[in-house]
Amino acid sequence: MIKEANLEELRILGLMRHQAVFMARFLDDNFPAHHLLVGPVGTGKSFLARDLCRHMFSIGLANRILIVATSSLCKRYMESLLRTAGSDAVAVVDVRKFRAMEAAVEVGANPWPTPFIAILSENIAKREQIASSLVATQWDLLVVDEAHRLTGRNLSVIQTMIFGGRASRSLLMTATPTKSLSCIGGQKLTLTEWGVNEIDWTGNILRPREPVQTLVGLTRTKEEINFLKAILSFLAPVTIENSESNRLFSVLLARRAASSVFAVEQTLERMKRMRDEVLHGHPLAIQEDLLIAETDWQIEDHVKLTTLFQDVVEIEHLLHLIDEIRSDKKMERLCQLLEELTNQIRGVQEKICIFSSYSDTVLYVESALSDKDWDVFSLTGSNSAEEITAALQFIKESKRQAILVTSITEGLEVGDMDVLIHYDLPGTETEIEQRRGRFNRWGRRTPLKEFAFWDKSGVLQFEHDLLKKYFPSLCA
Amino acid sequence: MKGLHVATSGDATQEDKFSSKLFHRVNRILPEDQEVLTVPPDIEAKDAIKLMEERGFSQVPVVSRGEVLGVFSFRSFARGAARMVDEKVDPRGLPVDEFVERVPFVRLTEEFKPLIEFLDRHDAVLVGEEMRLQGIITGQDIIVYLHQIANAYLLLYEIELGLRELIRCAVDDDQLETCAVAVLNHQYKEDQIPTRLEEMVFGDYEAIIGYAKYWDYFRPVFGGTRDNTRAKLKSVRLIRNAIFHFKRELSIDEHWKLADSREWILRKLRIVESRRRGEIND
Repeated sequence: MIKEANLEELRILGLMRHQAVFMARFLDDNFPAHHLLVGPVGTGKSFLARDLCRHMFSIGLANRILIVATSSLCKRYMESLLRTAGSDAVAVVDVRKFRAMEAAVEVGANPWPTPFIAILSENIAKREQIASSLVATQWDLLVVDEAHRLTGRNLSVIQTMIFGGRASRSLLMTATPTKSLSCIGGQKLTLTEWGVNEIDWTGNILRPREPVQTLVGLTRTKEEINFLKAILSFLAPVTIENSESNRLFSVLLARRAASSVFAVEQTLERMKRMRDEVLHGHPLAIQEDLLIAETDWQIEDHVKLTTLFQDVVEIEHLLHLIDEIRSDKKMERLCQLLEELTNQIRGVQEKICIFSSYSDTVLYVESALSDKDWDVFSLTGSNSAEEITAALQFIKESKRQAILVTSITEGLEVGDMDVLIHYDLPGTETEIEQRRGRFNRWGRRTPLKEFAFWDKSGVLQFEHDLLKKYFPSLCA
Repeated sequence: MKGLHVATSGDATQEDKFSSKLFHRVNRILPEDQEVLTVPPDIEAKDAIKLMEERGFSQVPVVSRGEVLGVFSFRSFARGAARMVDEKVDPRGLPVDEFVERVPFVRLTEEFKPLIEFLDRHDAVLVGEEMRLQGIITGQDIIVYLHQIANAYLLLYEIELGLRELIRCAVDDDQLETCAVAVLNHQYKEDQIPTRLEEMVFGDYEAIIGYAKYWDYFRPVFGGTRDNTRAKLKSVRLIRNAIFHFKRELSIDEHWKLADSREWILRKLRIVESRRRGEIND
């Protein structure tokens, strides 16, 4: 039984009711020490974890905390915990930082100081030297954000820490639990699931209303259609080849073409430039992050795209077709939509966000909109936490119509934005849920307005298939 | 060794904390993904050489019970073999211990410059201390590191000169002056508007090429849509700003983007050249 007094204390900290209930349980010595928290995207799991770390650290309940998260989330954790812990007691630990920490203590001594909050990206935790040091250290609290991404050695490091007694308490969080998570190392974590019936402090259901969705039709020019058809025919031979890497790459290239001509042109230029390196078996350097996020393709699997890369003449032909395109109908339709929205919401100051899977497209859209009468900001994975905070603050305070163009799906706090425009569609349902979750936060009062583009030419069949999957009621 | 000494534990001072971040120190040169290969002293030289060949290394630290005894390298093996008195003994079957060379250690916080002098005389330098080997730096690591720093400047130099050439192909001096006066009047005082390419900065090129009214001049040279070209130039400008205003280190993706942009400029120049020679129609 949770004491109301405890909940009230947590309410004052700014937590929502479901977060406060969980935190009160987590802090109660009578409850188990190791938890798996499952909740849909947008329910404030990371927010809760940050508050939990802050609270436990500031009252001395946890002096050594380890947080494992994606790179973009690491930046957010760092930013929010700096204020509590100070710059000497919290750090994002990369290889260089770890080496310096190791060199700063006597040989054989533990490099992890106390009090200290260590924030590590999941990739760093995979490194042998760091991993062995982590499991040799006693942690008061272990937090793993986006825990479904734990696989292989990464998972076994976390497992050793929890069930080898190296983490006194642990909190693993995910929106999409995997089998290996719910029964980690054959032992069970205490499962908490946040469901659709969670309520706020006044008893109202927290789940936001369904988004208002609209498909925006567009008609591509003859030159655009010629180019897209040429891309498909360029990819056709490798799509049916027996190589998984080739197939993945062809899907990726087609999806970039569907996103923007700019994005696919960047890739084609790079293919031409890297031809020799790829032919000699070097790892392909094109959008590996996306391949990894969307598939189980490993960066170590050197991709041999010889068929595609040898065809320099065809790549040159595709680039020539791009030169022939004189107008971008999707961009024109976007501008038209933005003008319609701006006229509709004049004086209301609704905030608009345009989402793309590709940082190249983000740059393109931002650049194309920059000489219009709007305040346009762009954010991608290469922006620092400070830049992200500053951009969101500008948008909040902008007196003109503010538009954010972004490709960040994790750790971006844009729950107060009203309009979501998908400039392109992601390849997986998880990714579209992540996107929607940035906006459709629990506690949201007004329904989100969501737009996606529909190419009437139908030249890219997969785009239509994705629309059917993500917007079933509109495509029925 | 001048400027080099064995590290003492626990001496990472407050000064080190900042200077390591700001200046070129050993910790920045040491590759992040380096996994150090070591061998025990009793391994036969031929097996150590086989390992080194498999991994593409020219030297390997010899470690016994956590203590670094020195380095076994092709050079140390050759020297040792040449000094051998008994010609009947096959040096390949001897333990690497017989060929170990002592090399001093450097600290992570050590200055960068002395490394060059040191590597002039040795194959590699060890990082850390005898009981705690943290890495190994070779001449190749220094070259790669300096290339990473310098490459972006070289690419930007070529991109900027290439871009000027493309602008010259698109407009004559009078047209350029007209464009500059119309486009740059917000950025400069009236009598200070640059009208020659050499007087302009990268942002000026970008503004002129991307200006809707004059796009017809530039389209035959750059091709595609105005928005596409603007995004290309903006991408270069952002990276250029990050470098010249020392905002941060460039990511690998940004290095690639610069290289891609250079290729893009080069392709456009080749197209213009082919047209001049009559190989491609407008």
